[in-house]
Amino acid sequence: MFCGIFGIFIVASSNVIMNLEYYQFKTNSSHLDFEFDSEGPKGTIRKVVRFSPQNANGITYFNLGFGDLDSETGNINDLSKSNNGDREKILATIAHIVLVFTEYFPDVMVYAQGSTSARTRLYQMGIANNLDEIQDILNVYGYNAGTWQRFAKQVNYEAFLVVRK
Amino acid sequence: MKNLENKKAMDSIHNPVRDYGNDPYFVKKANKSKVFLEKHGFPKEILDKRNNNSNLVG
Repeated sequence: MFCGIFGIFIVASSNVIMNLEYYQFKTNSSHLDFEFDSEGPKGTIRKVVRFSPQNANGITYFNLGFGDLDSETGNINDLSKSNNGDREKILATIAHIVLVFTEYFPDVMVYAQGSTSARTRLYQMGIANNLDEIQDILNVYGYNAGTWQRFAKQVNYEAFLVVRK
Repeated sequence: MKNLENKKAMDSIHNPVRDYGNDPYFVKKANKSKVFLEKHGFPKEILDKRNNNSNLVG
C-alpha cells in the first residue's frame, strides 16, 4: 500500500508473507531511499536502503546500498554488526523493499554486493530465504566463477543483479 | 491515546526519509559497483532481452 502524506510514503505495515515477517518501512518522493527500524535487545536501530543510479559500459542500473544510520553523526555504517537478533526479519525487509522499488521502476536493474564477503553471504541468504516469493516477480542473477548465472541456492556468489520479469 | 497517534503522525511529517544520494558511504558503494560491472559486464540474458525490447520499439 502506498499512502502519500506530505511526501512521506508508508510503504508497508508489519506483515507476514510466505511466513517471513518484515518491518514496516517508508520512503520519500524519489523512492530511492528507504528506512526502517530494527527492534531487539540492543534497542531500536535505524536501517537505511539506498538505490543509487549508476552507469557502467553505457548501461544504467541501480546500486543497492544498505547500512545502519548512526544517530549521532548522521552517517551510514554498513560494517557494524548490530546483533539485534532479527537478521531474518531484516533480510526479508530488504527483499520486500527491492520488490517495492522495482514496482516504482519496473525496467531497471538492481545490483547488490556486500561490503565484505560475510555481508555478501548475508545478501545471498536473504535472497535464498525469500527466493520463492522473489522469483515470482524478479529474475535473479549471481556472479560466480567468472560468469553471471541464474541464482541457485547453495552457490556462493560475489555479487547479484535483479530485474523484473 | 489519540494524542499519541497524533504525535506519531506528526513525527512522520517532521521526519521524512532523507535523501542519502550524497552520503559518502553510498557514493563509494555505487562507484565500487561501477568498477565491478565495467570489469565483468552484465548477464547476457538481460542484455539480450533489453536489445530485443529496444528492437521492438525501434
